[in-house]
Amino acid sequence: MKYRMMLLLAGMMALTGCDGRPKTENRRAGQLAGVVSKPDSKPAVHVYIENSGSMDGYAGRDKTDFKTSVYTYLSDIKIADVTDSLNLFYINGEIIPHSPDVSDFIEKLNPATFRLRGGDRGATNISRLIHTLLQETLENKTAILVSDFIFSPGKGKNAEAYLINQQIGIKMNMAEALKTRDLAVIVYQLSSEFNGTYYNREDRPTLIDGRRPFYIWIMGDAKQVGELRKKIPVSSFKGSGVEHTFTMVRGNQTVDYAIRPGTGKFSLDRQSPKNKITHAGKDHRGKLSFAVNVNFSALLLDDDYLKNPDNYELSDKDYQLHITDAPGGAHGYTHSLNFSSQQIKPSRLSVKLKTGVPQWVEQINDEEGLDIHAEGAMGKTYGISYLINGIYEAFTLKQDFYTEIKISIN
Amino acid sequence: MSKLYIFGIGGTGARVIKALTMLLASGVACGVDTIVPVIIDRDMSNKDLSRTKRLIDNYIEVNKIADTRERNKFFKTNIRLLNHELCLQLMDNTQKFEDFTGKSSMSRENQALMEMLFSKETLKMDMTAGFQGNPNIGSVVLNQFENSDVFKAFAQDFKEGDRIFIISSIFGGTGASGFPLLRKILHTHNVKDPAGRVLDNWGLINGAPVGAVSVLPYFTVGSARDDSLVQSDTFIDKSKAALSYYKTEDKKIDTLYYIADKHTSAYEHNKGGDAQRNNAHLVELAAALAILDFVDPEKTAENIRRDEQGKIRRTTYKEFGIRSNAPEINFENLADKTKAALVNPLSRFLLFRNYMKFVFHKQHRRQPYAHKLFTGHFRATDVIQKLEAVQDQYYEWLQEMEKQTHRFAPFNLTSRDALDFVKGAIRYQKKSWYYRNWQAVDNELNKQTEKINRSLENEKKFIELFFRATEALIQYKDKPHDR
Amino acid sequence: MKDLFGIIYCLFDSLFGQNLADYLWGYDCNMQSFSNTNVFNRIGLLTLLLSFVIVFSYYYLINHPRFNRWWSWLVMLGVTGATGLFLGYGWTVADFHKGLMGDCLLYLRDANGEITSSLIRESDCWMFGVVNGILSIGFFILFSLAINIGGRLIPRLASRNCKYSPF
Repeated sequence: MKYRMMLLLAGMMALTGCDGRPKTENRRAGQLAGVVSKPDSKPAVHVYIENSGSMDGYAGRDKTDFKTSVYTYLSDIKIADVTDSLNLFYINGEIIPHSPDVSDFIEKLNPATFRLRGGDRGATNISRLIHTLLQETLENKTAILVSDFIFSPGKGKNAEAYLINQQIGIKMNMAEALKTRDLAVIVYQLSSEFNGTYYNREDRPTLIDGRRPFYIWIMGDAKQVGELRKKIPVSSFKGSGVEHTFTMVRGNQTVDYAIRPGTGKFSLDRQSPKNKITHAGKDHRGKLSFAVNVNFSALLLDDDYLKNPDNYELSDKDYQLHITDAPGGAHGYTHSLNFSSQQIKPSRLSVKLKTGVPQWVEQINDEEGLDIHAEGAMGKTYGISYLINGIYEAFTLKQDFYTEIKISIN
Repeated sequence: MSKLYIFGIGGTGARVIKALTMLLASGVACGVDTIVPVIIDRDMSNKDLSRTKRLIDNYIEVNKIADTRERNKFFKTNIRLLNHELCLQLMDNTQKFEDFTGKSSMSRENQALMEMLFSKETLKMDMTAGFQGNPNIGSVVLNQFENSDVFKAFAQDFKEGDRIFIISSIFGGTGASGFPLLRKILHTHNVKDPAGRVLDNWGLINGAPVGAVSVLPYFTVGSARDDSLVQSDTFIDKSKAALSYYKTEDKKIDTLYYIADKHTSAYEHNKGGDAQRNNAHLVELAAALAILDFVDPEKTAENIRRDEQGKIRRTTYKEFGIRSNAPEINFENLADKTKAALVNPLSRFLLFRNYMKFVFHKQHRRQPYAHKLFTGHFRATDVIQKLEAVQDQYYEWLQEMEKQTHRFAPFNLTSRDALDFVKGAIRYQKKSWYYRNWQAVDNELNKQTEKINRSLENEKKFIELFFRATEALIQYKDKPHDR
Repeated sequence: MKDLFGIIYCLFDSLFGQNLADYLWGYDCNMQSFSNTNVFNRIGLLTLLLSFVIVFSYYYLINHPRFNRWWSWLVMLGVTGATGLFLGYGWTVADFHKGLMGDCLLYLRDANGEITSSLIRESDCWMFGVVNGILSIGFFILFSLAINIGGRLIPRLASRNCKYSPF
């Protein structure tokens, strides 16, 4: 009780516009690692906008997709009632709180304010950024970070080594956090007009005017993140809209699934009707077929991923799988796994939904990061794949599949 | 194991014995367990006689399966014949009366006496046709019957406790004269056989209870068609003559029954031979009841009244009466005791007959009671054939009684109804709304079949079953006034 | 043991369909398990009872000397079959119309919730009736045999007028 009071006090002090550096250490005082988040309480959402120098270009003009996307997203969060407290910050090397007034925030979203807000506007150490965010979001908070995620090894540094180190750092921080928390990470990739200075990997500036990708990163307790995503789906994003998504949750989760009666010639086992079928026979098409309703909502994966049969690993190659939406009326189920086989034999079928880094990550990754005017480089982000892979590896240390569905066939 | 020896004299004797046989076949209670009938007649070709003989032969066969040791009363009383003969045939067959008496070999004085005693027609009378209503002749001839083999067998067969009964008609030839004569012989001491030996058991016979029934006129005959000497208008006169002689029988017999019917029937005039085939009459049935009355153990005190030495103190005289008279008599007209004795047995036996006639051939293949027992050739077996022959004769007997001028018609004989064939307001059956008509009989047969001793032979099971079923279906209770 | 009826019925489940069978086993669409009442047991028991009543009536209540032939027995067999058929049909079709059968058993729906096909139809109810009729005939024959044999072993128990029907 005493600790919470202190926290509240500190938070209030922060919100009232004290331009002092928030003492993150203080705030962490008294916090226990691994506090179980109460699912009923609405978590605080902290939104961090990166205001390092490379971000100025997104806010250069009065109206950019960047501003539109961010503004609408923040408004949506406020409206959607997913949280009791929405806190706005600028972040670079430091965290600079802002008043929760969203419109005010957006109006002031320009390079001038960026500069005004100050902090360490130099090159961004993404690994440290992630680390800071992880610290900030212990105890029931969801962190949203808007950034361009460009690594900056700096001049004269070994870029490759730097990137690898960053990846390792990210991985370790994430893995550490994952030991105690059931985290989930969503990365939305959007794009916007960029009119300003672009700093390449050696920090050499170039003035550009084009379209550049930027990212909205959401991290927090898996349930809350899922809730947030459900309340504000991808479709509600304005501006460029979400062009790609990367989601990561812990592996080997249990999901709800049940065999759907009526989808083939079989009987449901009376003791285990959800995952055992008996008296399997060929239907009129000459195949053994059955469908399994499954609830993938906790996995925070999008349809593109979930409906791609290549992302599934079947223990028995005789079975074919294709995935559809769950039929209307199937309560609580999101998708339907439809199996068929030419052969009928008693088997225990195991279906694993594999984890994986989506292809778009490789495609949007700028391996060089030197010449912004190189072919396609405008639409790429330097080193993004190292960030994503770092996260990926942290999550998949122990398992490389999200969930496993086991069906017994007789 | 007491017996009753019945001597039925003449045509009436034969018909009364027949009536008695019918009663015994239908299960009327009898105070002795064996009846030994003997018909004494000169006229062997009498059709009445042959019918009765056939009936008794059939009865004896069926009687063999009647002893089921259970409830069965049909054919229960044994009937035995002496030397397997029913008739005590008079030995001499000489044709004319005068030849029979050997008049031609008599002395002249005796011949003259004969001519004085008997009319010329009488002397020339052909005797094979009975005595044509002349008792005076009969008495002479009948003296002969004591020499017959049957009579010898009777003497040998007789046991202590057996009784004797004599049936005769008071009118007519053979009967009227035979009765007192027979009685005299029975009471003669030391009667010897032709060889001169005293007949066995004669002492017992002398002292045995004797009853007799004398049947008074109950029919007239039409005028003669051939050279018959029988005249019904002489019947009354002759009856009177005989009756006055019978006065001397007083205290010589234990009980004397007189049966008569004022309401006479007209018969065809046939002096004898095949054609003397008189139809059955209620009077014969009444005479048969007299026999049963004589052997009724409950009536011994009133029938047989002797002193300590066994001498008859008094002769009991009895008559048969009915409650009300009418041209047609049914059970309602009879006295209560008669009803009580007759309704159940006669009705049950008729039901048995009707079932066999109308229903059995169809149902025996379908009903559980007959299953594996009475199917196939069962009906064709000798004893069952004889049983049905008796039933046919029984029906005929009932029909004949119905056709008399004074009709005895207790049953609606043409009815095909299973249970509704008794005339009059006699309540004797419980009506079931569910099992109608013959279904009720089948139902009862199926019901009773379980209760029968499984170890009995098929034929015995058969008769026992039908007795029980008819007994259950027809139960007339003796009530003081059934109206 | 408690599944005995269901197992017997399901020998014929190709006739009335797996989905109706699942309903009768007691499949609950919401729980997705067989937690509802086992309707097979109820119908089976009632059918058994009715068959017994009909057999008993024939041998002991109707018990008539003119209704004891082999074809009388067949008539009763027919009555039993018809009773079983209408019981089976009536019960399932009533449940069908009362909406007791779960949606997941009744229809195949696509992603939008539109019905793509009906999984349980009234004809399935008729077929179930047929199966129930067959079953009731089976019970009838068994009970008849029992009564026939019992009656031959213990005469007091035998039917009075139908003792040898139909054997």
